[in-house]
This record gives sequence, structure tokens and C-alpha cells, in this order.
Amino acid sequence: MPVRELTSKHPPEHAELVKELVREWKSPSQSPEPVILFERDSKKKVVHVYVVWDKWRDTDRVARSEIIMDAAEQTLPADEVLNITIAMGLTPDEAHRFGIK
Amino acid sequence: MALRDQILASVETLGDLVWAAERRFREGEELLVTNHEAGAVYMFGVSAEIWLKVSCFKFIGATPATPIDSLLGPAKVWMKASAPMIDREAYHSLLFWVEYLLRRRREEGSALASELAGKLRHHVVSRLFLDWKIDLRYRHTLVTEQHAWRVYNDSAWLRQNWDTLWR
Repeated sequence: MPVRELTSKHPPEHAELVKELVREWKSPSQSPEPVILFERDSKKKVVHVYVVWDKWRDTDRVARSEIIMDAAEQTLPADEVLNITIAMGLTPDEAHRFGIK
Repeated sequence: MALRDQILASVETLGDLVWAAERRFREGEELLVTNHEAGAVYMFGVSAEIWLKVSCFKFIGATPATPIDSLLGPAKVWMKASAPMIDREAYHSLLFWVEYLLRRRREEGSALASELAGKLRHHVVSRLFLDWKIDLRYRHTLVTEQHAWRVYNDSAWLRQNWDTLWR
């Protein structure tokens, strides 16, 4: 019988960050971060999501986008998730440079 | 400043991609006319990948200043729902981006004209996708001059039409 080990495609921090983000998204705490910001289109649908978080510091930008979307899938109804076109993770410094507050 | 530092100092935007696609295509042409066929094919494939991404992202409303990385997570989730069997190959798959564009346009009631969709499938899905994969960068491949010119023609079609694909 073949024996093989299944490993996650993502590093362990990925799941941890998703979990933390979902928790915060569902019931915002008093902590200053992560800050989750939404932009809606003319039909009032959420299309852009920005997450400002110091924990992004060691996470590459593509992974940040995937983590935000993984969290969105656990938080929002499916049709709303599919409307999102931008999912951007920024550290506080980056958010400042981008003018995102 | 070292090139690595230059890359890390700023985010990649849609505007950068448009510039890069044209540069990579022209570099491919230089390689082709100097008989470096494998290098030429690699560059033509890279430029095709970039033009497809630009078309997809422009269709969903991205602007020249939009950071590319922030568009990838949503594209992955959208395709997971629409065409889960298509491997995105770390976002380099030409098939992934063609299907994303065609399906997304259809879903939003703005399907690509059938003649244009047919040509896109012919040049990219039936030919470029089969001739190019990002992994070519690591491989020793033998490419004939004739084959390289065919890849050139398919990539040149995208160069000429990418700006129509998203409108």
C-alpha cells in the first residue's frame, strides 16, 4: 500500500493569519489592528478590501491577498466574496504611503 | 541601488505590466533574429502572460496604479468557483487567464464577440498554452526556427489585440 504524507500548500502562518483575521472580521475586538476597510461599488457591493496589519511584515504581497480572500470566504456569503476584485494587505507604514487610513 | 532593492522598494502596478509586456516582446524579437530561439519563445510567452493579465484586470476595473498582487487572491477565488479544474500554475498559466477573461465577461453579461473569442482560443489555448510554460526558464529545450516564428505570430496577435479583449 502506498504511504505518503500530505502537506499543506501553505506555510503554517497562513492558516494562523486567516484564523485571526476571521475572528476579527466576525467580531471586531478593541485592539487597534488588524484594520479591515471596505470599498463599495455603485451598487453598494463590497469590491475592494484592505487590511492594515503589522503582522503582514514577513508575508509576501500575493500571500496577503490570498489570506484576505481565504478569510473573506469564511466570513461573507459566497456571492459577496466573488464580487471582490482587490484584496490588499498593508503594513501601517505601507498604508500611510498609499494614503489609506 | 541594486535591482533587487529597486524591485522591493515599490509595488508592481498595472502600468508596470503594460510596459513590461512590450519590453519582453521586443527582447524576444531580438533573440529570434539572432537565432536564440528558446530564449525568444520564453520571452514571447512571458509577454503573452502579461498581456492576458492586463486584459483581465482592466476588465474588472483596475487602473494603471492598481497593485497587481492585490488582484491575484480575488482572481484565484473567482476561478476556484468558476473553473476549479484549471491549474493556475502560480498565476502563470495562459489557460487560466484566458478562461478567467472569457468566463468573467460572460458572467457579467459582456461576453467577448464570438469571432474574437475564437481567435483568442486559437492563438492562446490551442497554441501558446501548449508551447509555453513558465518552467521553460529552467529547461534545456530544442526549438526550431519555424516553431519559434509560430510562437512569435501567436504572441504578436495578443500584442495587437489585448487592448480590445477587455473593452
